[in-house]
Amino acid sequence: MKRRRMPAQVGIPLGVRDLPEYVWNGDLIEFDGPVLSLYRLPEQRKDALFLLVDRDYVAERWCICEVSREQLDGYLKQQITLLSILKKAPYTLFFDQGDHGRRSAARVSWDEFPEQYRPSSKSLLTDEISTDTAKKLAADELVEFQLELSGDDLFFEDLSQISRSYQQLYSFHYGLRNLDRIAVRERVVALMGRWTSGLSAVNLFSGLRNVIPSLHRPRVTHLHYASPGHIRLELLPEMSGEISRVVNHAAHPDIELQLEALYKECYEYFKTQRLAGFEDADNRISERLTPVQARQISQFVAQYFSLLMLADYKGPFSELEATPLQQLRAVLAYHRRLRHLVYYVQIGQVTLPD
Amino acid sequence: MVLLQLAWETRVSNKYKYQNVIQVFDPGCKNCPPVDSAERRLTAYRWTKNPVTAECIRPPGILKPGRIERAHGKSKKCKLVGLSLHRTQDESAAAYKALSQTVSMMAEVFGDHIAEVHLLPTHGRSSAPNSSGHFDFYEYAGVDLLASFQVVQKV
Repeated sequence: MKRRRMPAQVGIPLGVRDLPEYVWNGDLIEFDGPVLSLYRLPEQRKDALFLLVDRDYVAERWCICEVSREQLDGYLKQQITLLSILKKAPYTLFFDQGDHGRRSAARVSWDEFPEQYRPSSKSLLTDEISTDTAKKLAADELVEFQLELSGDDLFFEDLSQISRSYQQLYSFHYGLRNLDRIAVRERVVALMGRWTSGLSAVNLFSGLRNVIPSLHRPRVTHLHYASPGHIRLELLPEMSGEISRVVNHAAHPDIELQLEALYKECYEYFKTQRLAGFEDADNRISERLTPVQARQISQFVAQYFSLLMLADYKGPFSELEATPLQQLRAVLAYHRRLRHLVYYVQIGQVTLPD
Repeated sequence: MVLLQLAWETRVSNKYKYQNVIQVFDPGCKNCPPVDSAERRLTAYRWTKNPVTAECIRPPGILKPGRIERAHGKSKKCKLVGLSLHRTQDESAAAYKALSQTVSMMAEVFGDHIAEVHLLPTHGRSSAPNSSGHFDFYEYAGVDLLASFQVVQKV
């Protein structure tokens, strides 16, 4: 019996290398594998949906459609259909995925979008088909949170530093809070394992951003550049609350002293144990730890989580597929960024309501 | 602790049909099938063609091994070595109807019938179903369920 093959691809042909590099964030529908997945395009800070439209014995055909924050939120909450998202997109991208890689990529306008692949006018993300990941994303409600700015000597670079530090802390806390999401956990472990240069710490925080879908990213709703002024954000309430608690706690002189003492102790330990420095293929420091070193370093990580009042994350963080040294490096990088915001809180230029 | 060890040994000593595939990403089959899976006696439902072919009841990662390689994380890889099933015919039909609004080529991608199968503890392990009644089934070695699947509904 002749086996069915998918019809020829329509639209403007593209090389598969011309397809943007999206980062997987999670599956919204799955049956015998992913059917609809959420991806992120890091450079352009966009979300995209990957939809399985067809399959034969050789390959699967996927359609990529970029989606705005509002559309994603509406779709997750069963308020708008997938059809409406596809119709409004300036174009979609198609490709065939076989065991030997991708082929037959094309850029397709709505007019060219094959009829047989179009979702119906009832293409909602209903409970019968949505994954737990999708349900959780739909359940998240955002709130407004205001960073208060004050002080006479607030310079332009201070605004930049405050925003960047807050963003980086947010990324780290988001990672901690969402370690049960595969995309986040994989990303955290992959980034912690790449400690090959001073840029690695930067990559950790910017890389974590790539697994935060647009509807979870802090969005500026109001800016008041004055003294006093504010930056008002729309974001996840548990995140804003947690960051405020940690920063305000760390700003307390006693706690700050203890944190700095711990930081110093960690680096002294690195020095005496010859664990300092960057890793490369010939120098995998983190994989050469003795049991005693691993125990001590794990203890440092535990002490940090206790001092920062993040004890709930100690367990899940320690269970990550990363060595104790990789975990500690990540926490030390977090401490360095925490210091920036703590400084501004201590001199009264930033207030983070609890 | 002893009970856990016994349970784990039971899971591994009953060799899985696709154990060699599972071992690549989960040596010793410690987490695949999932730890909450169990041998159960139940009737389950799967989307298939009519008549049911061997391909209809082969896990997606076995039909196309590249999918396991591309999957994110062990739990996703594990799902691709299991068979997607529903607890009840109604749940299977409701999910098919809902998904067909999004995937217009349902018949080509998943089949256009629902088939019923009576699973025994000796057939394999079933994961815990989700709120929509969907679960994954992991066959033991030597099990051939092709003759056990009976088409019950056209969707």
